[in-house]
Amino acid sequence: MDTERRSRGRLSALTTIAYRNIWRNGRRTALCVVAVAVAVFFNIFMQAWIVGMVDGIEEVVKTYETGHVNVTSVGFEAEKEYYPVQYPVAEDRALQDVVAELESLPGVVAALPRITAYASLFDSTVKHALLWGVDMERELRVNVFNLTDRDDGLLEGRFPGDGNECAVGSEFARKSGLRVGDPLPLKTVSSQFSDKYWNPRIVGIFEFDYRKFDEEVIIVPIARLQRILGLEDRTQQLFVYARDANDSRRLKGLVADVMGPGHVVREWGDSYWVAMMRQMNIVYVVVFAVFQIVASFLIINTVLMVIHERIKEIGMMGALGMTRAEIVAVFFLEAVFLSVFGAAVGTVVGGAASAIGSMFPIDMNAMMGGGMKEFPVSGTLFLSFSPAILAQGFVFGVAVSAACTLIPSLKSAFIEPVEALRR
Amino acid sequence: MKRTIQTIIMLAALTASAAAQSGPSAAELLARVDGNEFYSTIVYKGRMIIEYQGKRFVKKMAFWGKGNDDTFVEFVNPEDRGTKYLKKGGRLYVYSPDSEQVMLISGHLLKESMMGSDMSYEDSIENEKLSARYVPTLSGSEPLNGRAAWVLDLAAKAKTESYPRRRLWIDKETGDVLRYELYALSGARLKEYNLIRAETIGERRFPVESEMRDLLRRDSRTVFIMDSLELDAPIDDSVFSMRNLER
Amino acid sequence: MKEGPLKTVGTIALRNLARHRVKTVITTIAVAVSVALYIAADAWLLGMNLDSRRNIVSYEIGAAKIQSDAYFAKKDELPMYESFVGWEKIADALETAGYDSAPRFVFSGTLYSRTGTAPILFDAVDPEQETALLRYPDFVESGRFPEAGRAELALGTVAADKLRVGIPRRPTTEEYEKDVYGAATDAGEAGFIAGLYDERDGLMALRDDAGAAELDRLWGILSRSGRMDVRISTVIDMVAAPETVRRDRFEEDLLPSLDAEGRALALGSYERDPVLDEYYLTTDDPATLAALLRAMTVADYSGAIRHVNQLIDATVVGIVNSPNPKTNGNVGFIPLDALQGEAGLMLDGAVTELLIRSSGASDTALPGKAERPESIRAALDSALAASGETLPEGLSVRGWEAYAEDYLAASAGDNVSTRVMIVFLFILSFIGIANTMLMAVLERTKEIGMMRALGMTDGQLLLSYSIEAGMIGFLGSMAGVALGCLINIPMVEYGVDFSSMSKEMGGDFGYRVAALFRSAWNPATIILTAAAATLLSALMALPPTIRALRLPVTESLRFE
Repeated sequence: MDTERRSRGRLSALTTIAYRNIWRNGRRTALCVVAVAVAVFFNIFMQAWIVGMVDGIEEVVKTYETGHVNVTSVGFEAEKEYYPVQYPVAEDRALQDVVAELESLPGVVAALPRITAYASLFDSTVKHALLWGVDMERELRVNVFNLTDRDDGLLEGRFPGDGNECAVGSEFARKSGLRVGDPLPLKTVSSQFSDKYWNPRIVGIFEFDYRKFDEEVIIVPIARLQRILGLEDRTQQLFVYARDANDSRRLKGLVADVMGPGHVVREWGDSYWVAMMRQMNIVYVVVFAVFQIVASFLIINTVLMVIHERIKEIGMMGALGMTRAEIVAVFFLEAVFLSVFGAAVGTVVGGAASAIGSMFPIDMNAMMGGGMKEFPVSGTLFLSFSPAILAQGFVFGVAVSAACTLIPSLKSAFIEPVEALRR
Repeated sequence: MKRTIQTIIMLAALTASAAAQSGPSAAELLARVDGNEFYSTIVYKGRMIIEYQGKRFVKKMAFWGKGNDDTFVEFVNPEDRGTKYLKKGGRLYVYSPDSEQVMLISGHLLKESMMGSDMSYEDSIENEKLSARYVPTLSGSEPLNGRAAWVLDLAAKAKTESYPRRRLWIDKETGDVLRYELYALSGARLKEYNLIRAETIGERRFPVESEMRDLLRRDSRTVFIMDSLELDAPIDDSVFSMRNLER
Repeated sequence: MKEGPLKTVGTIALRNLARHRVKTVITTIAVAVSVALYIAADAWLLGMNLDSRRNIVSYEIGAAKIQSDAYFAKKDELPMYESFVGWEKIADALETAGYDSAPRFVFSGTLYSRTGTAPILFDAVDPEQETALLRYPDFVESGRFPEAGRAELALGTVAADKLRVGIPRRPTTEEYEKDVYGAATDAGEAGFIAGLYDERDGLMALRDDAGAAELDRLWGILSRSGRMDVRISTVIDMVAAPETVRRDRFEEDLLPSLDAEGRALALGSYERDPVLDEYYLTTDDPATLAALLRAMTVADYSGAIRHVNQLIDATVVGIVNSPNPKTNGNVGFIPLDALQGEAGLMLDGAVTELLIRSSGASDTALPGKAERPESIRAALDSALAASGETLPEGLSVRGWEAYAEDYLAASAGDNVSTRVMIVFLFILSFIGIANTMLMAVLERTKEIGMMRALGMTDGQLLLSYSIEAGMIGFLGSMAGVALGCLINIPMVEYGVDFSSMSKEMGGDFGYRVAALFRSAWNPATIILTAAAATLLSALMALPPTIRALRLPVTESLRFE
């Protein structure tokens, strides 16, 4: 007990010495701190960037491609590139019962029916488009469609109501020269292979900032589309949204149970893109480590210099009865202080940058030359501001830097006090 | 120039057929087929039964036709109720309750398939007689479903014909087209038509129930049935009008 | 005289470097890592870019194409009626001028196999010329490339998998039992097939070490079972001035859509039939007909474009899996001469394009000066002129860039983020050098004072410290170059295999590199990076030294 208290006292004394030591050369400390800070900042920033990108993709996948849990029929799945409408889900049951049952599952916020179908356009430079039948009112309670402004994405007008109305994407409108109020004559093929002519009036122009939708999609009320396609109250797909998106793996099983055989149930994490981005993370961790190590060279350097500078002092410390372990500890702790300060500065700056970046998005279309059409990602990128990234960056920075300085600190242990005093 | 020759050949064919007693010539047979479909007016209620991918869809329609130029079709089955087509002056118009206005089918839309059937809109606009487009050859006779039939091979006059070859089986007794096959340029069979039932209306035989198969689509066939057929009854011109379309 | 002080300065710098060996080494390593990473990353990006471009050239396009201008204008719609004839003369002229050429007729259609259908883009090619000009025929994974004169088809591997033709690499147990093992006609074949496949992760897998002879035998067995029999369903677009046009269509559709010249032409070529109330064609002069047709197609008059149904039986004889995903997707290659007659597309010698590449051009090089469209055009014109010919009106030579515009535009804006990352890394290294030099200068403030007192000029001091820092940069750069090259060697030689990923995405990765990502050497970057790192390092010594020099000598001497 006594030795324990003593050693604790010693440790705090050593810490004090180490802390004081770092202020002996302010400029050097500053540079050291800056170096660690740059590395930590960079790590946090890049991580925020990458997480932001992954989030962006996940967001697109969750909002447009799969929801949290996605239900389609086996028949649809086999020909999904053609968006067939003749294979509705839960064909033998009333849709509202299925929706009610899905929504009664624990953790489920909404089960939204959606229909996507091809349309041929009359007298238009754009010859084909996608009809996207959704229940906008219910959708908007769950989803924010514009990925940049985090709102419903309407540029002009409103979303279609029950009437003979539609809303079109901004790029689509631009290319075909359409404006709010214009009719949009089109033809689509129903679930019974009938040609269906329709001439909805454009009541809104939206920009979801998901290129594919802005370019190709015509939003129509699902009830109307169901009727036109001869689906009555059935739907092509069901998008189930959970309170917590990470809950979807569990929900997937439950949803599959509710739907029964003949259905394909997927969760957003099964999306190829999401899986790929997750795998890419490993690559980035390696990149971060390299960064941190390069930055740590600076601290290593500093520690070495400090040791060199204070050889006399080390001799003195030894002569005064400090053990080698304690001397090493002083230098090590000094390095740790530098790392902590640096990491703290880096974290603050990185946090600020990512916080700003999480509010003001970066225009990816300009950066990538608009070549991202096939990629399910929005045109703009929000950095991800999250305490987890900050904590991770901080701890990573301190840990790598400290680990790197352990070896040069050990060098102090090999200095003979008598020799040192003579220098 | 070409045209005169064509006319001469056709005239020659007609006179030849009148003279022949033993068996009909190819041109005569074809002329008979064409003649059968030549009516001044036609009115019927029809059903189209599409069987595809294990599903069965029934489309019902009412049809008015005058000559080969003017037609008016109104779909009456619940799913398509109110969809109306008007073909007039070589143009095809459509009205549907969802469009709330008349639309002209033109441009790239003409190339698309009509009502999930084997015909494109373009095909439905062009309706010249077979004898104007094909050169017939009688390639023998064979029994088909217990009926003696002539087999007539048609080769397209212009190489731009959609189906460069057709083969027809014509009932020796009734003159019904019992079956025909449509061939691709390579000679591969693409589509197959079979007569299920023909009726005598007035003085002519008319196919009232038939079946069409697209041989490239697996398990697919379309059965066409005319329920109440009336030929050559007067039809008011107002039927083939925009007003009727929008009604 | 002058050499004296300079030499001294250099010596001082070198000695100073040796004073803190460990520190020097660490800083050097930091620079080295940055330089190495930059070189490696640059080589990677360049490799991808270059590979993509080379891929476009050597697998898809060649250096240039001859197409009709009308085809080029609508090339996305594959307007097969805008083809041209007489390519043989052009090809001969090109050959005299030192170019290889390969004719192609491109069309789209649906391919029907025993089990399914897929939309396919067909390239009708001359197998011999195609093989000489493009590289994908060398990448027939199993089977062989089609032979001239036969209705044989080589399919991209993605399409083959979807349609279940060719030799399946990873069939499901069910497909294997039914279509592969079930194809055996006797016990010997059954045993042979069973020996080629084993089960892996719930799927059957073709043994990786299956030899060419074994694959050929398996191909033969599967082929006999009918697995390779397919039908191409397509529509031949033909343009023909219609023999007759109904009056209302003629007057209300056709005439208004034509320009004045076309209208005059149409009115001059058609006559109204008073009995049948229609217009009929009166001319059979080919030149007038051609001009009339041109006017009608330009006006998009639908009556002039006719669609003739065609169904072609073919046998799949090979599966293409080349480094260019475009050749591995929903693509089929079929001999051009098999499509000439009525069993094909009634081509009558027409092609939609003629691909061009310099004879003996290296696959590793992008098209050079002699392969620019203007150069090809000039050479072609003079070669044609020698035999009294000219390139027909309406045909043009266009460089490969004109066909890869979308890709090139996308890739131009690319790579930014990787480079940003590397720049950050450089900043870090330079802070490191700055730190080292700051420390060095700081701890030698006294020394500096002493040297100045001893008569060294400020310039000499600056130079000395710059050389010291520059040396760190230089050593680091050298080590970095060495390291970067070491990383590059395997990356250039072997690359990274992304084949499974590419397949997941339907064979079309944004980058046009199918299975293998490879780096490429970029000597310019290597030298420039090393030079830049050295120079920047040297500059890093300036701020602290200038600062130290601002101190009066007396102050410096007193500095602790």
